[in-house]
Amino acid sequence: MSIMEVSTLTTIAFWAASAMTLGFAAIVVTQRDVFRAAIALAGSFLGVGILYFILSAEFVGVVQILVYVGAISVLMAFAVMFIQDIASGSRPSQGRIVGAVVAVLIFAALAFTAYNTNWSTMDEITDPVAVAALTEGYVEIGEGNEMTIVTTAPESSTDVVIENDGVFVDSTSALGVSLIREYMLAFEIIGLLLVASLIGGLMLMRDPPQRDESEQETGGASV
Amino acid sequence: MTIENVQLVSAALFALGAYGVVSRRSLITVIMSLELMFNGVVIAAVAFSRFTPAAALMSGDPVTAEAIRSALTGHVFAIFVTAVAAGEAALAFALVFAMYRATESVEITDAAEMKN
Amino acid sequence: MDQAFLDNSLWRNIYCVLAGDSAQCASREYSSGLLPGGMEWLAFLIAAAAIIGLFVNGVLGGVIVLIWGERRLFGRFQSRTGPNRWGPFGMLTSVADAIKTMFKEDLVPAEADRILFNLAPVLIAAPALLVFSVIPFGIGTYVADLNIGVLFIMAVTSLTTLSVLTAAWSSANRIAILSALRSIALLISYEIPMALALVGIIMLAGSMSLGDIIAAQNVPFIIVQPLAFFVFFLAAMAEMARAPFDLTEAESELAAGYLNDYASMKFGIFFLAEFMAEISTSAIVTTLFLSGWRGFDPIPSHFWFGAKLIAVLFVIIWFRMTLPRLRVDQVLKFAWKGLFELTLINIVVTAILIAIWPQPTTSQLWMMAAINWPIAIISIWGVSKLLGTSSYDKPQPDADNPEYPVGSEEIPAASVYKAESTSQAQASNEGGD
Repeated sequence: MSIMEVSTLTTIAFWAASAMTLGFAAIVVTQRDVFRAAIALAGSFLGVGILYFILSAEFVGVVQILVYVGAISVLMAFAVMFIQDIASGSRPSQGRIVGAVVAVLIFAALAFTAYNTNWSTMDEITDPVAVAALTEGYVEIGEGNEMTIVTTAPESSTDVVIENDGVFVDSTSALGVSLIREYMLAFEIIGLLLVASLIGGLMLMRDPPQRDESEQETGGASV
Repeated sequence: MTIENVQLVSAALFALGAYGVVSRRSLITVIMSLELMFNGVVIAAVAFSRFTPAAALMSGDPVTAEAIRSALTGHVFAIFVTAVAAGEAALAFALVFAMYRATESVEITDAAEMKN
Repeated sequence: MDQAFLDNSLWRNIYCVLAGDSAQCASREYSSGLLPGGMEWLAFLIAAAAIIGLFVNGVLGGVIVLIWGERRLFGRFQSRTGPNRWGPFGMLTSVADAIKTMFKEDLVPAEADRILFNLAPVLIAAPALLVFSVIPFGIGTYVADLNIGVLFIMAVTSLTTLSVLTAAWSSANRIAILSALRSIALLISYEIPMALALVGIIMLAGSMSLGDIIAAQNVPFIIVQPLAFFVFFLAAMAEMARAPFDLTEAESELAAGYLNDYASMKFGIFFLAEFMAEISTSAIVTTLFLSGWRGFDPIPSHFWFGAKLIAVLFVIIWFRMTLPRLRVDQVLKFAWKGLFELTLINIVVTAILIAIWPQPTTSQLWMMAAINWPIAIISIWGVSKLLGTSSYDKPQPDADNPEYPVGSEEIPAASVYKAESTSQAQASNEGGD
C-alpha cells in the first residue's frame, strides 16, 4: 500500500526539518539573551509546521504556522520587550546538571519504548475500499445512516453523491466534518475556553486597585 | 522516515523542553520550553495518525464515512492542543506581568517565598 | 473537473525534457530524457530550481517595473510628469535607485544585536516571496497547487509581524520599538477580517485550492461577493501598511519608524519587500475575485492575468494618492468595529445562500450576486453610520470668540489676530529693503 512508502526526497526533507526544529529548540534552552530565544522558538515552530506538511497533515501544519508562529511567538516577543529586566539575560540556574540528566532519561525512555513497540502498520488494512479512502479517493452515496462508501461512482444514481479525495491527500474537508459531527462538544468547549482565557487575561492585566499604605507592603497582585 | 524516527524527534523535542523548564531561571524561558513540550507531544500524535491504522478500518465491518474520518483523530488532537496552548500562553504571560508588577523581576528564584 | 485545466504544464515540460522515461511523461510525446534512467530525483531538483529561479526573477523584475510605474503614476495624479530622465520615459530610474542604494554605507548601530539585525530583512522578504508559490499566472503555470492554498497565503502573510518585531528590537532604539508596536497592532488587527472575508469564497468554491477557486468562477467573485471583496481589499491594503493605513512609515512623523537604523541594501530589501507584498496582494485579489487567468479564448491566459494584475495595482496606487492618512485609533476602530462585522454578515448570508443552492451553477451565481449586492450596500452604509464621523466634520463655533465664523469663506479683518501689528511689520520690512 502506497501510504507507508516514502520517497527518498521525503526522507531527506524530514531529516532536514527535524534538524531545524531541534537546532532551534537547543538555542531556546541554552541562549542567554531572551529575545534571541524567542525568535529561535519561532524558528522551531516553523520547523514543526514543516514536519506536519511532511507527515501529510497539511491543515494542521498551516494552523501551526498561523497560530504558533503568527501569534504565540509575537506574544512572547512582546512579553520580552515589555519586561525590561530580562534584557540582561537569563542565567542558568543550579539545576543544570540535574535537568540534563532528567532530560536524557526521559529521551531514553521514550526512544526505548518507541523502538520496542510492535507498531501495527497501514499494510494490515486489507479492505480495498478502506485503502482507496486513505490514499486515492472515495465516493459517498446516500444520506444519513444509509450512506455507503465505494471507490467509483455508479453511472446512474439518484442519491446524493459526494466525491472526496483520499483522507491523507486532502484532509481538510474530512477534518471539518469530523469536528462538527463527532467532536462537536469538544469544539464548543474550546470556544468557551478561549473566551475564558481572554477574559482572564484582561482581568489580570487591569491596573491594581489603589491600596492603603499599610497594605502595600504585602505586595502580591490580586484581582 | 518510519514511525520510530518520528517518535525519536518528538522525544528529543520533549526532552529539550523538559531540560529548559528545569534549568532556566527566567520565567519567560520556562514558558517557552513548555510550548516546546506541547509541540513534541503533538508531533507524536500526528505521526500516529499517519502511520498507524485506525481500529475501525481494521475490523471486518463495512467501511463507513465515520470510520474513514477516525483515521484523522491525531489531527483533531493537534488542533485542540494548539487552541489550548494559545489560550494558555496568553494567560501565562498575564501571570508573568502580574508577577513582574508585584516583585520587580521575573526570575523564578525570586518568587520562592509564600506571602508573609 | 477537467484535469488538463489544472495541470502544471510548466513543470511537466521541464521535468519531462530531463527525465523522459518517467510514468508522468508517458502520455506526452517526449521520446527520451537527457538524464540516465535512475536519476529522476536530479530531474526533480533541476526542474524545481529552474521554476523557482524563473518565478523569483520574474517577481523581482515586476517590482522594478512597479517602482517606476508607481512614481510615474504619482506624477500624473499630481499633474506633473514623474521621472523621465533615465532611459525612455524614465524606465531606468529604478535601476539608478538600486545602484544608489547599493553604494550607500552599510551602518550597524553599536548597540544592535548583529545577528537579528541582519536577519530581519531576510525574515520580511521571505514571506513576500513565498506567496507567489501558490498563485497560477496562467494555464498550467504555477509552482504548487496546494489543496489548502488560501489558508497557506493567510499563514504566510502573518509571518511579517515577527520580522517587524525583530527589526525594531534589534535596532535597540526607542522610537523604532514604539513604531513597531503600532505597526504590529495594525497588522494583527487586520489579519482577522482578511481571513474571514475569504471564508465566503471558500464556501462558494467548495475548496481552498486556488486552482479550484479559479475553476469555480464562472461569474467572477467580485460580482457574487462584493462585501468580501470590499473587506479583503481594505484589509490587504492595511496589511501592506499602505496608504491610507501607512501610519508606520509616516515619513513626516516618525522618521521611517522601525526602519530607522537600516542603511543601504538592508533598507533596499525592506523597500523591495513592501513592493513585493503589493504585487502579491494584487495577484491574490486577481486570482480570488477577478477569476485569475480566465478570459476569452484567442488571447492567451497569461495576458489576461497580467491585465487584471495591472488594473488592481492601478487601483491600489490610486488609493494611495487620493486618501489621507488615518490615525492609529481610527485604523484600529475601523478594523474591529467596521470590517469585522461586515465579514460576519457576509459569512452568515453566504452560508444561507449555499444551503439553498449547494454547488451553484452560473445562473444561481447570478442570483446570489443579485441578493448580495443590496445586502452589501445596506450593511456598508449601516456600519459607516455605526462608526460615526469624526467631530471635525461638523465644526463648532469657537467658545472664546463666538463671532469667528468657523468654516466660512469670509474672514472679517477684525477677527484676524494681530491684524494691525502684521501690517506694521510688513511696512517696516519694506522700509528696510
